[in-house]
Amino acid sequence: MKDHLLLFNFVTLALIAILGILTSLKFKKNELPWKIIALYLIGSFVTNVITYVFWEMKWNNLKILHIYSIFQFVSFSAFYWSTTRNRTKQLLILVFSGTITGLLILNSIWFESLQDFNSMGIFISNGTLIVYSVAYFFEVLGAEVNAKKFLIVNAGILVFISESLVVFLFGNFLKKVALIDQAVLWYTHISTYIIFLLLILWNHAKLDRIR
Amino acid sequence: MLNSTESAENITVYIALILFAVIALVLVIILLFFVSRKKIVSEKLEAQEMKLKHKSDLVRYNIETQENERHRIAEDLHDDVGSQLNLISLGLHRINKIDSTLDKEETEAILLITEGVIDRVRSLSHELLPPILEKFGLVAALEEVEFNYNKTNSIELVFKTNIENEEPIFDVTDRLYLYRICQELIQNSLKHGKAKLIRISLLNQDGDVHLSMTDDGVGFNVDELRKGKGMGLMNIENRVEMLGGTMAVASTLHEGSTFDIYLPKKANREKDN
Repeated sequence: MKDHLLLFNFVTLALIAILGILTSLKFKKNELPWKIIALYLIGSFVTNVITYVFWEMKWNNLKILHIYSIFQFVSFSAFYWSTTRNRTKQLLILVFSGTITGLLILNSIWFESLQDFNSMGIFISNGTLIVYSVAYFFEVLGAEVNAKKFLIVNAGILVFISESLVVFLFGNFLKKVALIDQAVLWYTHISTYIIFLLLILWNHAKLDRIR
Repeated sequence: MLNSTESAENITVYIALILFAVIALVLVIILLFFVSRKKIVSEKLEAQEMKLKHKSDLVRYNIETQENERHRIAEDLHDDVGSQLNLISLGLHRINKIDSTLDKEETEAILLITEGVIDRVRSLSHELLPPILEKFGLVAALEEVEFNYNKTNSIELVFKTNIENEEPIFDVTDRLYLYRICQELIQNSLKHGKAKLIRISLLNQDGDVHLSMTDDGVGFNVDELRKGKGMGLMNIENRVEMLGGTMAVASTLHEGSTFDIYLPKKANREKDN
């Protein structure tokens, strides 16, 4: 089972690398949301590699999850900030995300140990991202074609973030369960992440065709 | 560690069930969104099409009313006002000859004014509905336009055609609408394009008609023009549409513009209408 999970991880890593390169091409010419996605993918790639090294070295890699969940929250918040042109919405995202990022940092320092899953932190940050994602859907429901450019990416984020919220909410409980019994959850998690990455690829290819 | 105890297994199954339920719920939300969006977009498109159709119908109605009015005013000017002015002129001539007590200079001046008014009425009537268009056809009318513009020496207008017999190609409405299109295009080139050279070609291509107008004016942004379509362009487009044709516009800033209008064979146009 460990081998299967490793294989899945390598597939994910390869996909992130390909997507990272694809979205980084013509970086300067790309629109801001794509630049943010490119940076997020690069960050994800680095995190995944470090996590793998920690795992191989049998070190506790949960402290990386603490940092990664903050990084992911900031990246996706920046993505939603950049997709709207409404100043009020931008300000709201800025205030909410700034406050929650601060709370996540405080949570990792004082409340949830770096040796454990930051379940509460992930619940709050992913919950906020779900609100952003649903709000984006409502915003583009009857909007001009131009505003619908990131619909597929947004659908991917919503699926992945919702799934992550559930898995990591029970993270600390799962630590007590044998790996074989929790396999289905981690396979689902990696599969959802792969689907999310494929949706980014699809959206990117679709946009390239429009260009 | 709980190992693979039954309770741990059960709880993991519950978590998995919650997980799948959440994923399913999210997928349903996404599906609902895409279905609603499709519906909203199609409703919006329908409303937009209705609005465009209404606008287009309004312009068509305006064009038809305008043409009828022009026709009526031109006929009234020519047949009624023109004839009566001619009678006044003849009467003045007669009085001038038979009544020696009248001040000759004054009657000559009145005669001159009357003849001036007669000329002005005639030219107004011709502008509204060129008799040459009805009597000799579109090619002759456009040749007259070419002659009149070149006479002014302020611009050069070149008209070319390969049409010798108009009858199998145009009917009365075709001629009138194509003439109006040319008038509008020339006016636009002069007014907005500040053109100095205008080339018009009217070609018969195996029964299909290709009307082309090119100028050396300041040019414009085609996309912007389409977005903020003015009445002039809309009139042209509607006339082309009413003739069952299509129009292509190309323009380069500071180099000029080209309008290409294509009309299918007369028989096909009649069939479509």
